Amino acid sequence: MDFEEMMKNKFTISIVIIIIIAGAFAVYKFMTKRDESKTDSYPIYTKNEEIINITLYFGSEDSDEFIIESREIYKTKLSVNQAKQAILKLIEGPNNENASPVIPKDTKLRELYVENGHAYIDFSKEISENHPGGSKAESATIGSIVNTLIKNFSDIKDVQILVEGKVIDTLAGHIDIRQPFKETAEIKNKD
Amino acid sequence: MEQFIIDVKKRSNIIIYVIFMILAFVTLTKAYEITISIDEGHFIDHAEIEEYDNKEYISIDDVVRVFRMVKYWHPNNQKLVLEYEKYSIEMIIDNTQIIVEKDNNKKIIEINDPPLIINGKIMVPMTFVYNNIASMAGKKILWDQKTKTLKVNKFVYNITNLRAQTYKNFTRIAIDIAKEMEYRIEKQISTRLSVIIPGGIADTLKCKSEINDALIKEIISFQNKDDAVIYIDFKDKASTYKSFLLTNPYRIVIDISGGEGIKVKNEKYETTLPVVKAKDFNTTSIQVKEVKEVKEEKQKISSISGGKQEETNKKISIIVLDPGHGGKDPGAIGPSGLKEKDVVLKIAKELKNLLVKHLGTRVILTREGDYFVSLEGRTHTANFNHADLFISIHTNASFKARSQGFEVFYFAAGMNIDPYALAVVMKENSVMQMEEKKSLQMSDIDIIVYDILQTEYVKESKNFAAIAQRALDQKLDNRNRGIKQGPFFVLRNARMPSVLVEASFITNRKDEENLKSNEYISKIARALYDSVIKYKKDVER
Ligand SMILES: [Zn+2]
Repeated sequence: MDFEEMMKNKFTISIVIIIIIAGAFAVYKFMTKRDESKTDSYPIYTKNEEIINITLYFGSEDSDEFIIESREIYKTKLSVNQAKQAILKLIEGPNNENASPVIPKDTKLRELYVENGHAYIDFSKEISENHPGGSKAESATIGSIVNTLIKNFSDIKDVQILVEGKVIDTLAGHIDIRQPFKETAEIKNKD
Repeated sequence: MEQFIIDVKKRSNIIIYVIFMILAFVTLTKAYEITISIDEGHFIDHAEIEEYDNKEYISIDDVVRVFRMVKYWHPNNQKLVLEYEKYSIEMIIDNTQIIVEKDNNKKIIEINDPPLIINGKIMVPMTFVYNNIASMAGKKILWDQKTKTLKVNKFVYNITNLRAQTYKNFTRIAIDIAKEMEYRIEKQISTRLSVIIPGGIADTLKCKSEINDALIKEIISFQNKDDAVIYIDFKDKASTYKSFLLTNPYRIVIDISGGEGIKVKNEKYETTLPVVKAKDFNTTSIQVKEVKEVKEEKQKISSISGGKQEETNKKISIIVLDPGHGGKDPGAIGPSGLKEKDVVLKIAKELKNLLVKHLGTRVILTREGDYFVSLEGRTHTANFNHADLFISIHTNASFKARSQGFEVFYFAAGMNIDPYALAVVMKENSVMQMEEKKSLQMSDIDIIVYDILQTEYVKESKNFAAIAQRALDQKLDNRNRGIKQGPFFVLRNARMPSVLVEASFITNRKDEENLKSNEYISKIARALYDSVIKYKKDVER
């Protein structure tokens, strides 16, 4: 093999290597970009939007009634994004000392969507796993979520609670959540 | 000159004639013999098939012989009349429209290819045999190309009828099947439910409905190879469904409710229910049958509800106690670590002892130790044992530690009950059928049905809840939180008066201390025992 031929071969190999490296880099760039867009894929609000007031429903230790608190959210074009903001505020918990939180620790809102007036709200498994249990706490959780959605957003007529994307039997072993709730007042004081 | 012209004309005519004959011969030479196997081979016959224009034709004489028809031929107007069982079929050569008459009802049917006269024989297309004669004969006709065998077997429908009924809150579709059959439901498109029954042979004339109520557009059925397929077309793609298999007689029941769950959707519901309309000549007879059926149903229903009312001397002899949670599910946990599952088991065992010793009632616990029992399993224990009363025992919890006291819950149906729907549902789900189901199958049973059934016991459940709440108030020095209603899982499915007792708040420091003491546990058990005595007296009076 003469020198010239060797050089020719080396040249070809290096071209191939360069192409491979460039390709890998492009793929890497593309992947990371996709990841970025994934985390940004739900812009619930932008801060230059108008601010509106909504009402959150929290639990009460003294009765089965709800303690309401007002919150400011951004008036997004899509009302479902307003609803998501409201639930995130509900997860943060109450300010009033008499009010009790209703969403168990570490619970995340996975998704919320509204279709023909039916809201489907999907929570992470902590809503069930970290739930204190008891009919009282369980109805407070369901009631607060349903009230917060139905009473603030007129396009929501009923609410189906999902956990990790699935319809489940109950959150804590008492209340049946296999179907959507229309009103919170499923538990009424009959005395 | 003239002569010559004629000659040429004649000659060309002859040539055209010869060409025509050759063509005709070519098109007609594709003839072959087939075997006809009748009623699973009980009777074997042979016939000749001829292909004309790439279509298979069979001599009408063979058809008449195989199906035992009577043939009339009117050569003047080329009309063929076939008499076959209750049908009279009129066909005209070269005409695709045929007239079918049954019970003085005439109907014009368009067939794929016309009857023809080939080589002086009257021939009908095989498609006419497969499609039209098969349905009139009630026979299943299969053409096996490989063995050149025409199999004519008795058409045994195993899916015989379909009924669609509009109720105030849902639409119920009942599909009558001849035996226990597996089925699956697929939602391939959002507005259509496909019910697929492998091995099913549907009477497609009866298994359809033009119901057109608030929820459903129409229902049709057809055969897809070895499967019977029923399409249920929704009006609203958000509609939901529940399905279950009932026995005696076997039927698949599918309840469609609006997307808004159990809310009232069918506003214009009918109380007279015949909704099955067949398009064909069977129309009148089917409708008459449906009306008759509904009348009979109504009579049966009134007798059922009449019987219920007379049944006043009820006894409280079997009680199912349900200590909540257990095993992997500890229930609520108190600030010092006391577990709901342990407390409620103690209460239930003590209550059982009191009831057995002093009242002589049969008492069954849904769990006897610290193990997990599904929610369905708990209610199933009560239903299976024909319990007269079901008491689920729990301790309460709140997010903060402050809530205290006791409360008793009974079931809230969460829907308006139409009394007629209730009666029909009761008929569709008699006690017998419920018990035939294994506990594992309980979960797929229609929630609406159970809501309606539990509604029947709401009055008694409320009565017991009030008695228990009063008794707890007398025994416990704690906060009386009242009686309440809710969609509780274990109460929803119960087919007897049922309550859920939240005895005290295990999450409250003071209540937890109380629940740790045997004295307090005894007080709760005693209060519930007292309430059973009071309730038993009320009921058995
Ligand atoms: Zn419990």
